[in-house]
Amino acid sequence: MEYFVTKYDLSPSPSHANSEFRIPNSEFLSYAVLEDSIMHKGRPVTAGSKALENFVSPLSAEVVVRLEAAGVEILGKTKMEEFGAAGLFADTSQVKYFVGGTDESSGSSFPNSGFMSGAVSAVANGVAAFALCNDYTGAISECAAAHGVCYIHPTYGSVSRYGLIPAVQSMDQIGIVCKTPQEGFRALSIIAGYDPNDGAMFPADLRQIHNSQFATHDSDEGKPSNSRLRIGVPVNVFSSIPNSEFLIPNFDHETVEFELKYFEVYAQVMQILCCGELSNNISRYDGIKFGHRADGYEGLHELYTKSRTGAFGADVKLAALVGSMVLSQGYYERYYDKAMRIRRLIKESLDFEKYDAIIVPAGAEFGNAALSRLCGLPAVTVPSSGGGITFIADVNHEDVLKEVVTGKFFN
Amino acid sequence: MFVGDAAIGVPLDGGFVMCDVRSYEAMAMFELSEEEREMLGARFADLENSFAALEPIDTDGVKPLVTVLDLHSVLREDIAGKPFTREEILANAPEQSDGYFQVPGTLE
Repeated sequence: MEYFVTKYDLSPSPSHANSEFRIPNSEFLSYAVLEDSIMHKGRPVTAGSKALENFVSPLSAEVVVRLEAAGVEILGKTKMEEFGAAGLFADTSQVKYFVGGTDESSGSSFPNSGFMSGAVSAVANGVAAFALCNDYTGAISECAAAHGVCYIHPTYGSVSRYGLIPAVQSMDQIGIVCKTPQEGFRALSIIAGYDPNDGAMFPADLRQIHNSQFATHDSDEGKPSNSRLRIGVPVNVFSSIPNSEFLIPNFDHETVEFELKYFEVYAQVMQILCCGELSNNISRYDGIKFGHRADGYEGLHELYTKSRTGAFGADVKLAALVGSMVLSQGYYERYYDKAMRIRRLIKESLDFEKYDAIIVPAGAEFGNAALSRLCGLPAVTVPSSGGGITFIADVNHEDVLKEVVTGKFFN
Repeated sequence: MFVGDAAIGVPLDGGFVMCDVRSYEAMAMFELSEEEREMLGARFADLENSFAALEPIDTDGVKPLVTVLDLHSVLREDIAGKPFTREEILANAPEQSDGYFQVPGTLE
């Protein structure tokens, strides 16, 4: 299987041996891949769309600058669903989404889980130590767990999105596909931090304090943790999703049962808000300044419509149609405004005084990790019993998540 | 059809009708084929029906949550910069002429 949209032609570099970023017990020390929504100067970037065919990145994303400064070698850009939109419609589409498949050379085979990501495939098959991508729908984290790897979704505003092709700004956040949470949190310590080029970030001082909490240093390897934490278990969620209780892994943390409100409508709130924002974002692809321009148009308006019609696939077109509806005068209050109000209700229904982290199923039945995206909360998704489980903590508490899944109370 | 000609999202009794897709298609500046319109129209209708689940939730007096960041906007000093050259900006243009983006004539 080919994971890459663009595979870099790299010559062996001696800098690997001196890299500060070493992956323990691994034959590759410092290799990463980027989802094709992240810019790398001088390299093509498409966000999986014909709308950006032949587009060459004029700059490097802040995360790329930080990786390179840390000595991490970037191997290439991985395939992705167009603007990540397919993850929004997992329950409504009859189409199966594949970017991956079967790797005939290695003989490994992925289960037919629907949504697929080249970033997940590359990490699952050992091509790269970790991958950076924008999983605003939660579909990649679910896909990662289904294929035996992990996904770390950082706190909204903790990792710069400068140089990320925007899809849904209120939820866009670069996260990490990784073999183990330890490796992922180490990668997070490299890419997180204030960047003045991203207008929606936590102030530098706040993140600086926080970074020191979750960064893993070589001296910490193998050091047991002594913190026993309170894990909130939403009983109404696990009781309403068949067999989901079997996803809960063995751990010795204390459990706190509670009711999670509004989870029945997470998927709808996500769809309304994401379609609205995505439809707005793709309005920039008009065939004028960059990207795909259709042939055979007469006049400016036809240039717009023919270029846009030819540029986008079915899922992005559907998102644009739904987005146009929910933002239109007649439906704005009924759908978009209502969804934003429910988003506040969802955020305010959480009480991190009662628990340190929440455990939820990672699957589409739970709106594909919508809770962390809607509320901007950090989350870590790990494989569990053939599926995936997600732990979510309060804002800027990646340290709690790290403790939950790497400490001695997690078996 | 121009964007301004579209019927702007007036809720219709009886739910989804095909002309809705045509309206939003114009707003989104697409020209779908009949086959594509039918396929997307069906998925559109499924989604819209599922959105009805939001209606029973009482949101009176609840302020819409636009961003999850509890940060207030602080105006900074406006600093002029020149991150890209003209050549760099035009490098990705589908068509250019004499250092400008080239587009079809807009006046007849």
